Amino acid sequence: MTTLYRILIILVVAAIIGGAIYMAVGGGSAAAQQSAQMPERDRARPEGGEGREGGDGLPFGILKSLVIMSVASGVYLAGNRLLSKKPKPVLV
Amino acid sequence: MSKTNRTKLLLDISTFVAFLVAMDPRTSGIAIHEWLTIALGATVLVHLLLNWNWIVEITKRLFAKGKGLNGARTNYILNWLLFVDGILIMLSGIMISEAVVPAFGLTLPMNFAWRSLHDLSANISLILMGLHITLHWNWIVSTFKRMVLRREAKPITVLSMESKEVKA
Repeated sequence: MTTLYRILIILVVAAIIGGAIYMAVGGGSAAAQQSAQMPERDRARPEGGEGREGGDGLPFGILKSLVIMSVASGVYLAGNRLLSKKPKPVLV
Repeated sequence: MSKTNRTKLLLDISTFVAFLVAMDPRTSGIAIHEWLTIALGATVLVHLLLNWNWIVEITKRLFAKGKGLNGARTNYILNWLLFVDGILIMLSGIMISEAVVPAFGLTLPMNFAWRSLHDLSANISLILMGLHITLHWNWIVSTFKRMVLRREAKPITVLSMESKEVKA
């Protein structure tokens, strides 16, 4: 029963956030009409590209994702190290 | 090692692999991309349930004074950002769905804003996921080592006993 309550809490929080995002974006009313007039080539799925059926060679997308995650991790660690570094004592 | 930690690690590894596959729709195809992301939503739910005590504990102590809490606060804020970004990915993905929503016989209005948002939130999720893994790296490595070492522990014990017998 406790687990069910927890699931309910997570889903309610997710629904509230999702609802807020939906309202902020406009729910597809005004922007929908705008996009309906757009040519088909402009509506292509940004990350989808041409290979909609999949299986077109090496998984470069996975490599790209791993590289981005590694860079983010490296930047965080470097920043953390720089901030935690104590200044060297100055000899007078 | 506790059974919960083992379950957590295995779930996290499989979620991460699924996340990587879902992030590459060119290779997997749109249908797998969409259905896999729906499944990922369920694994994230289980992930949150398994870490529920930590979430509740940090939420209670979020505004409490204490130096030791700084790392936990950063982690907590990052987790919220990841959660909100995950919802944004799911919502924008549903709004531009080409496989899941039509499979239920539904059609949603076309909106270019959702497409841009889906792309943007997916890229942000990569950065957030990188940071999330970095902050939990020590736990991942230590739990993985304990899981692997426990399996190898038995033959090592037997060998040491045999060597003692030889020496005697």
